Amino acid sequence: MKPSIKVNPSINRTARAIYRLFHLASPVIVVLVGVPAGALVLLTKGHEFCTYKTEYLPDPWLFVLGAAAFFAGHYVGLLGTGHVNKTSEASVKFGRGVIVTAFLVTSLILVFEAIGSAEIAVGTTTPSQLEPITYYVRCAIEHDVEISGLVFTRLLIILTFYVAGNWFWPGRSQPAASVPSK
Amino acid sequence: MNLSVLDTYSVGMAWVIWVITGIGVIVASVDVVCDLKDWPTVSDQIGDWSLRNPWLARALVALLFILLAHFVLNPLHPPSCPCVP
Repeated sequence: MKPSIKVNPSINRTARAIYRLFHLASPVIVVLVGVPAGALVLLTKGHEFCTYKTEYLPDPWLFVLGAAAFFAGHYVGLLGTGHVNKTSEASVKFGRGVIVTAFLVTSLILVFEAIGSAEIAVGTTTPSQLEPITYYVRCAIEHDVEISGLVFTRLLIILTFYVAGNWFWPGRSQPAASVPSK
Repeated sequence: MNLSVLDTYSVGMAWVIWVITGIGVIVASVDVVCDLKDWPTVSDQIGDWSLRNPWLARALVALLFILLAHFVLNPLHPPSCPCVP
């Protein structure tokens, strides 16, 4: 079966090669962002760690940055189209597993957020053990203003919304081209 | 707020960041292995799902933007979170 896919012929091979290099280096990029970010938070001790010294939020530019990264994820993803994959029974099962896992994790995060919000909303007399994720995220952003000048917040927003644009708005109108493996 | 909890807050937050980083590294590594072996990558699999379920994909993207707006455009100050001892 001849694979059929929409590919933009104007995209040159050099751009595709750079995209592939970036793709192959992606685990290293994640490590370079995540490990120092955790270390910076770890190095800051004390209960005054997360006081709001400045009222930084709301910041509309962070939202604009997310939107720009989403569009970039879609348009840069066009460089990755046209590659023909080999599929097997195992790869089809793996694909289903990826989708189920992704939604399971998303659901668990939202359940945590709902329970945290509910504990705050109910206002129990005992100290709350869970807080809505919003509190932690907003707290982390406020703190990042002081430790890195928002570098890590911006990197995380770019990474998250770039991936969202790349995955959920694919630069093709048909499924990825594939041939059964022998 | 219990101050002893706040003293371990940075350790907990650092571990959360590292665990999320670990998940990201695993996903990115699986993607690279699939790419090198010409198997459908995670991006291909999820992209195909998005093409089969466009409305669900749009709903998911809308949810992501709502969360981002909730985090960075919300003017409310948490009344009693770990941020305010």
